[in-house]
Amino acid sequence: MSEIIVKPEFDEKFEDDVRKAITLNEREGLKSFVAGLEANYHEQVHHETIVRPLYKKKWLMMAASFLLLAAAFFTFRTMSSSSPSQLAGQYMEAYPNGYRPITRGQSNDADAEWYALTIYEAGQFEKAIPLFQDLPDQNSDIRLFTAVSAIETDDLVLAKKELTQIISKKDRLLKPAQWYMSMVMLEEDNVDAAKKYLQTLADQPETASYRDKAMEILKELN
Amino acid sequence: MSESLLTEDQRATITELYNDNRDRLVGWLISRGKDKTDALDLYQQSVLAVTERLVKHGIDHFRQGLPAYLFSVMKYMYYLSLKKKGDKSVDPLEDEKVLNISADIEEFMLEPDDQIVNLRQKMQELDKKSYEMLRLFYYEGKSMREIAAIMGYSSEQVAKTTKYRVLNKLRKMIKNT
Repeated sequence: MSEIIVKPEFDEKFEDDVRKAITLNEREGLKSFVAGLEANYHEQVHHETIVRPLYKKKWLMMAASFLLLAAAFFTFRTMSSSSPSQLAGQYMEAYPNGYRPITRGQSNDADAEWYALTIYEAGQFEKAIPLFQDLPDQNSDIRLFTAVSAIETDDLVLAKKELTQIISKKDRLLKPAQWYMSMVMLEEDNVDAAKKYLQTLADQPETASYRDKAMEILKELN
Repeated sequence: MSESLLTEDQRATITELYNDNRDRLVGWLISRGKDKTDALDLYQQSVLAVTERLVKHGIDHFRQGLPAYLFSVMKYMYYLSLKKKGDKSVDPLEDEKVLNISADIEEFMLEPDDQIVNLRQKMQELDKKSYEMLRLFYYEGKSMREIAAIMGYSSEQVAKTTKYRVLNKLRKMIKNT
């Protein structure tokens, strides 16, 4: 038997206020994401200034020993392209922290999640892993940071465990989880499994994340 | 409530938009007398406004393309900031290029009154499912039929009834303060 519901008389003003209140609530979350974009932007610029000279140096070294390497290189090319684990090394990058960006001047030492992310952003992955694992809220973001830290420290068993959990949830972190799972598979020389994840990412629409990189790796593997 | 509202594609879109336009648009503001901090604040506010529109209305909302829309939003906000400081030489509404986004930004720029501040506080006391129901309807603009499907209600009518209950509860909470 259905319950009789008396509809309250909600005036338009009240509903409009509810709409505005929710918009402001949601905006708070978006604000932290946008604040993180500036940090990401600087990270990129910083990364380029550091990496470029190294590439140059590496190129000079390669050029100097070109004659010695050429024979080995071509022999290697005839057998296969870069090895799977080499490809993983080329493409592996830590997942950026857009989840809860750490901004300069922020001080919240009592917050374990904030502290773990600070350590992660500092590239201290080995130290970050137990900090993430101790957090009470093991959501997909935290699991992904744990997995990435595990890959960075060659703990592929832990990485697979965390990524499997995220993939099974099929939430918004499905694609990054598939991407990092493909990195794990490449590290393990499990080419077939890596291809499976990469193909899923490559089959996405043109503008989708990871699509281009997945296609590049697949090309190398085939 | 949280940035988890953004899909991975939306995050990638906004990140690319931010990086590709940052120097040019911040430079545009600096060339008009803003100092770097203010210029960056205004740029980030504009990106925030665009992000909000993207979440609420999807990519199809931006017929003129995201970079052009972002520039229009930023110009509109810039003109408003001049007007606020008493500069009467520029009226944002007279700039035809920004006319079509003024309605979008109007809501974004509104200052919350006491009633809304109170509502936001009371919303914290709602259970997760009740809040999600309101969020889907008032923020994402989903129909009751869609909400019923998303939240697993047996029918559109059940979803409607639940929404009324939640609103009623919220109103009672406000009255009791």
